[in-house]
Amino acid sequence: MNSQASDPPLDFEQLVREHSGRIRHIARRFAANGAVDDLVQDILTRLWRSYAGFRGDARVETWIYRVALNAAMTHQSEAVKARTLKAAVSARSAATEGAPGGASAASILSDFLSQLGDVDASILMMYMDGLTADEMSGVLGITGNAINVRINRMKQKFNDAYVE
Amino acid sequence: MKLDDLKAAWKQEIDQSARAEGLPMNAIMSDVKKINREVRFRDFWMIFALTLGALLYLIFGWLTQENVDSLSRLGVLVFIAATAVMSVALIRARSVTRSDDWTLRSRIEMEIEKLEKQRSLMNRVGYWFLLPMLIANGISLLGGHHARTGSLVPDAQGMAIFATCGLVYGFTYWLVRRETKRKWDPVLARLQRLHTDLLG
Repeated sequence: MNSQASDPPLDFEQLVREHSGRIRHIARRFAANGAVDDLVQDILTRLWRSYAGFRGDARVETWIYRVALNAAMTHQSEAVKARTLKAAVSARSAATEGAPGGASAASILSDFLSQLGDVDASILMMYMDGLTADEMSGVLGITGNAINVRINRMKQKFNDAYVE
Repeated sequence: MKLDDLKAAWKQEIDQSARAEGLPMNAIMSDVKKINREVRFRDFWMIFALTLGALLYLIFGWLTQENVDSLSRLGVLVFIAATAVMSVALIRARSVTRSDDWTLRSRIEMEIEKLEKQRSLMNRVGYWFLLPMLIANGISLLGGHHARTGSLVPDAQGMAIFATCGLVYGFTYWLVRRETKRKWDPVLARLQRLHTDLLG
């Protein structure tokens, strides 16, 4: 462990606490039910280790998404099989049930997120959080144009599924 | 309702979740320490075990023997060379050529490179490690037999020992290949799918 990572500034805990809801939502999307806490801890661990390198030249949200999505998508654990199963179940239920009638905005969002692949779900979460295409590009490593294309596709998909 | 109308719901969900659930800060601190300790231990034990093995082979196979046959010396040298090659191969397999720019794409490509290197290394473990070890054992056994009897034709005991070594190395090879298939191949396949999805 380097000396910077072993001695993080004191306000790290407060910063992470402010964004704990965001971190938990990311973890819930990517981990199986029983593995959410495990992934949250992995994300927090990586945030803590990288905190010394975060100089505030990007928004905190962008930094959190970078670290959290890296952790979520490269998490090499027992949760992989469960996640694959979860995705298969979500896809099947989406195909058979269609749009939930009279559902709340939160449940519609959750339902829509579960139907998307990991990359599109990541983009949607960042989009919901107000990140720009350039900021998302910095997180994912693909062009802003490609991100805009994906967002437009998702909007179309959403309209087809949920707008009567 | 449009997709953008869900932004308010997302913010509300995040705020509620932040208020309702705490974070395991103490667990994070201990986890970071544990990870770093494990990395240090793994590196230490790997280098220690290899060095000790080569050193013991050198001492007991050569330096403490009175009449060391040239074949036995060759066996010891092959063994030392094999352990050196293995150390270098393991260390090189851990390094990646890509630089981490903290994007997901970069991280996935680094993980894929690391896993492919490790998988390739393990799939070839028979050629770069087990086979040289077996050859070293065989040469040493034959050297010892030659020093004792003057004959280059191995006796039944020597052949039995050599066959046992071969079985142990064969079993090790099978275990390594099975572990690679079971543990790394699915993860690698998932990362490659993710990479394709990201760029697609």
